[in-house]
Amino acid sequence: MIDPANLGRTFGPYTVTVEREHIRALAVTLGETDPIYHSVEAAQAAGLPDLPAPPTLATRYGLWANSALLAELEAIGAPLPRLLHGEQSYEYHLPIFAGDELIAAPELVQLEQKTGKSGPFEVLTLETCWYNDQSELVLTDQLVVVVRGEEG
Amino acid sequence: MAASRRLKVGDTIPGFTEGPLAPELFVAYAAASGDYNPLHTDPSFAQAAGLDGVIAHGMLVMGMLGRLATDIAGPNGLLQFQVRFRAPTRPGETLHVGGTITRAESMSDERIMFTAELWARGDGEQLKAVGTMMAIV
Repeated sequence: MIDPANLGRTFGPYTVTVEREHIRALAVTLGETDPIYHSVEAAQAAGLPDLPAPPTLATRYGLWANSALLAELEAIGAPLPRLLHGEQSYEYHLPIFAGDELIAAPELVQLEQKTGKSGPFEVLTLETCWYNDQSELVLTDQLVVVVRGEEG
Repeated sequence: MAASRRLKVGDTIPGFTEGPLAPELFVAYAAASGDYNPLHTDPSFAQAAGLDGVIAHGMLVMGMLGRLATDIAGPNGLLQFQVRFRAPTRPGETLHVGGTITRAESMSDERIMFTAELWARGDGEQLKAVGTMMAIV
């Protein structure tokens, strides 16, 4: 069980660089064929400085590909194999492009202990405010994950 | 892109269909998103966890809805985007995504701020995910 004392704590901060390859790979698997997500020339022809971030890209940095954060979550009792994404929301404040450097310290804003058909489980909510290198807020990301109980 | 379209409440957002989804797509999405939870790629792990087999990453489904959102709002038009995952998606299923405009207001600069409900379902009526988007076009 996750110690309720973790409620309100922050993780990180984490600094990430938005890579063109992250954008292209996500666009390819989502079937997004708009060339602005693949070609810098096409993006610039559309008046953009570089490849734009697809709407769900930030969750790569805010959880799933953030090994330092995943290690911290495992340490408090929420290891990756037991996580199930329940809900996800974003507020977009400024556009994000390839090459941008972002920094955030995800905060554990809610922690609920529940009991279901297959036993106890926990629901945690992480809120992540991403800032750019000018200290401007660019994106707020809130995710709700279910931490499944341990099997057996 | 969508700026010339006069959006109004009740309008249907033209959706699309993806599938049937191959298990290889889940493996590709794991690499693309960095989410290597074996629940999405390893059938024996998924069975040990009490499932019939692997299930899609929720964010794969949300990513499809994000495609729909940027189809209508462009790459920089989104203000908010929220999705709740309702049911697992399994290999072999086809995803159908779409939406409806629920609010639309003309702004002083002639752009339109709108809110839409979005949905993703399988081949039946079962909803995989529901959400909302707010954007300016």
